[in-house]
Amino acid sequence: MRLSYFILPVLFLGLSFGTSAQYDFDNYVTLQARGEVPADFRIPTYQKIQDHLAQVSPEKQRDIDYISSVRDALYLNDFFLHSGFVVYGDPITEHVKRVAEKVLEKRPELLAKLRFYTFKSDETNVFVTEQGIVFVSTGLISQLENDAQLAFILAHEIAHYELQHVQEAFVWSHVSDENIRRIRLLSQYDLNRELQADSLALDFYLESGFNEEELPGTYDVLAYSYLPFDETSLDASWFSSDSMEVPATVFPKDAYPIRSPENIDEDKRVYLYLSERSNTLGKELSGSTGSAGAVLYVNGREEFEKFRAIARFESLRCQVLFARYADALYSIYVLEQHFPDSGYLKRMKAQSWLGIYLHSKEFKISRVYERESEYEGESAKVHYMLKNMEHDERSVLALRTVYDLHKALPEDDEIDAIYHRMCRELAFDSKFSPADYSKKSFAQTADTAGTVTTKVAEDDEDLSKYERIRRKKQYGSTTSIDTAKYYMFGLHDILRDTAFMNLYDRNYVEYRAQKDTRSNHLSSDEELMIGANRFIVLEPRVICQTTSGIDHERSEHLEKSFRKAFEVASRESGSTIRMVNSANIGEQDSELFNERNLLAMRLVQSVISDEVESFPVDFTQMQDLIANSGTSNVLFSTTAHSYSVDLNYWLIISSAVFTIAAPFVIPVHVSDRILGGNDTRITMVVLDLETGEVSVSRTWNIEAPLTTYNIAANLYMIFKQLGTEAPQ
Amino acid sequence: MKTIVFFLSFTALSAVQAQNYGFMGRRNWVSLNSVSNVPVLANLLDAMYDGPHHFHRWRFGALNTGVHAEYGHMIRQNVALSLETGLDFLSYYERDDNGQKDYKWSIKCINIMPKVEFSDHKMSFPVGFGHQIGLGVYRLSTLLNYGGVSYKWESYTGLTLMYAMMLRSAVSKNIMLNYGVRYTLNYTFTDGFDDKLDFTTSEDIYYQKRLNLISLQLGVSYAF
Repeated sequence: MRLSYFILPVLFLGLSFGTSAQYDFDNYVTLQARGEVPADFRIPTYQKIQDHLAQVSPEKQRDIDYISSVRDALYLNDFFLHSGFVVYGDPITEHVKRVAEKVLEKRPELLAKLRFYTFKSDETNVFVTEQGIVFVSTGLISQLENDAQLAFILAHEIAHYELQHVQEAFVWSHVSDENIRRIRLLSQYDLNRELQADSLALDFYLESGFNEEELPGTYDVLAYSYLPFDETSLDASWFSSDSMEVPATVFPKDAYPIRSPENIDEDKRVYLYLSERSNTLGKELSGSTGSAGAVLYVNGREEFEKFRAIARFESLRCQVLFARYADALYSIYVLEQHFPDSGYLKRMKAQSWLGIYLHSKEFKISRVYERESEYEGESAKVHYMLKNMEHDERSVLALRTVYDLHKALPEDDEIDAIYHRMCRELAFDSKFSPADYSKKSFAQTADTAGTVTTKVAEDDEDLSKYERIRRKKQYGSTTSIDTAKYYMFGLHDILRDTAFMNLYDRNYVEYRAQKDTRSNHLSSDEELMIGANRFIVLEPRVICQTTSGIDHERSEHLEKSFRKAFEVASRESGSTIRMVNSANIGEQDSELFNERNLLAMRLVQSVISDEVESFPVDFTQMQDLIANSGTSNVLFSTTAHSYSVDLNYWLIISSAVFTIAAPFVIPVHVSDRILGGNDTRITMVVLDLETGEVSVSRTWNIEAPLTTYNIAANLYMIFKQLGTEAPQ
Repeated sequence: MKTIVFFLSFTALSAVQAQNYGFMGRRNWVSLNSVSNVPVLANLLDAMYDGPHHFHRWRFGALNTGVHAEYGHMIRQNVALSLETGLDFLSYYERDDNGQKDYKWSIKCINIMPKVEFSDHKMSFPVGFGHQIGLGVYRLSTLLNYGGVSYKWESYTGLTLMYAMMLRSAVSKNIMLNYGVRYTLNYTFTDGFDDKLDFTTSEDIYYQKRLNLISLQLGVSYAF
């Protein structure tokens, strides 16, 4: 007994330590900010500008160009910090910090000046700001082979900071042609800076004992980072299920080779100077007299692989968020090799297929398979497949996958929600009819068929028009079947599933009813009447424009007025709001920060999806937020304000010529322009977090100064309209 | 007049709809406005050209000011009717051709004016930029001060046509600041006018009243 009393707590502690060391990839949750909120996220930008200018020389304090550049840079930095993509205190950030500590173990004073944050993106990127903030993307971590490579990349950025190079991207991923041109224009200067940074980075790297043999590999990481984080052979059978076999013909006949960076067209090349930098570094290394280090991993290989896996899961999430479902499917395939039972991967797969179907339905499918670079490598097969499929084929594969996942994981709330959404969307799809599909499987049909032809799409070109028509009529018949139309037999068991068909029929009845009443168009005012009086309000944005550009400081002050106005207007109109904004975030408010990020990401997803009502990528967290807030309606607003006295000089001159008119026309015109010079446009979007539906998207013009109660008066009207039920 | 007020009130009541508009839902307001102008340009012209008269008198217009009270009621999302009453004070100095004798004419003017107020934006009216048009009547009485002694003069009646551009800016959930420019065209009924005053004086009073063409307006409104 005594032993068990003693052992149990030890076992429990041991287990709990063991568990905490593991990362739950089955129920992966996107990276969350943890711990105290760093000052970078709390201090208002205008305060940062003042602090920064107080530290520079008096000459710089008087230099208008310098002040302007500092202001622009800090507003850009803060915009990025609050974009929803950046987190602090998360496992990736902590790991990056540990590597940076190792890199600068002999230069603690330099380390003390730096802060490290992670930004969630599948792009390979890292950069440092003039203020010493190092941003590292999860996409970069996902591509690495070891900590030594990360160490050199961090060392390079820290060298830029130490050498006082202004903020600069170490690599440019997905850059536009315009950026490439700019880089080229500055090429000589840029190359020099890169070589300087590499040289100093090499000192940091070698003095901290990292393995110098890994350095050439670092350049490979950068050179091939436009490809997925792994290159694994993909077979079409991965898309098959017990009830439907996907033929190999959906893939291209020949694989897409991976080209060497030198063979990429110069205009399309993402990375510049890599070969020059690699050669120069090679020379420096050969001339180096320092002792060779051996460090590859800061905390061991297992720990590194765990963090890289987190980064890869995060990259997958980004691909789903940005509706890059072809990339997402390939990432899922690669990750499933290591995490075959991960529930998260199954959920992302269901989300991806739902997204593919929705984009196909709304004729936006190109967004799903488009890629910046040419088709290369195994992942290109998925792009090719989705591009060349017909809408029916995509619909069947989507339903098949979601249905099978729902069968396998009936208790999973997210997959259940996706399944219901899929069923509803199909019922509302005029192009989909269950009657078009066979209730027999391909094998059953083939057993009784006279002939089975295995045709690839190209072969169809040899058929005559009438042969093609006859063939189309034969699906489900027992005379002849074509493996290219495999999907026509892919729903046989689903169509016999009473539960599914009942759900489909219920939705279909609703669809018919809506279609019948669609002729009753709502007026402009009635469109605002959504009958909602409870909202989550994400921090209102204000852009105050002047003749010389955006007045950031005034914009920031006006945002305060807006926040107060929202409170006044909601109180007066009887609406309830829950304000989520970065200005309220204190030291201990990481939870609020994460909520804000979640909402910002939902907005991003909605904007990217455009006319497609996207499914929330962070479904579970979103459900918690909705439960806590008591509403799924989130209100985003952006306001552009300007004041200008736009006089019509021709009117003034012409009325002055006719002196009788002058005393009447000129004062009236001038006072009209002075008093009516305020131009304010409030754009407001109400998004349903659950369905992704944009209930309201409207811009209002206001001719009044932006004071708290003027704004409140307008918001009052908006809340009142939103709270009214639309007439039936 | 009674007919006009009755008609306006009736229109206002019948046009009230079950919609959500007004300043925070408040569709009525009372305002207190000060109206003032200084006939700077007229004074300059008078000084340069010795006035428009032929009696060799030199005049100087002083600050003309007034206090107006208004009750407004919204009948549409961007239209309101209001009734304004006010008291204006006009004065000018007059000297004879030797510059010795000072006459001070003080004109007190009581007016009442129904107005229509409208805006091309619907969102937060009456807050924001709006226009007012009014047609009213006024009655003025004159007081002549000469040598420290005041003499009460006669009273006269006239019509005022008014157009104003106003910007209302809310400072609390009930109170708005109003400011703008006001244009008035005044017409004084001349029946009996010239009989009671000599031509020069009546012309001067009429002239002074006309000088109020452009006035600045500043006030406060309470919405309820």
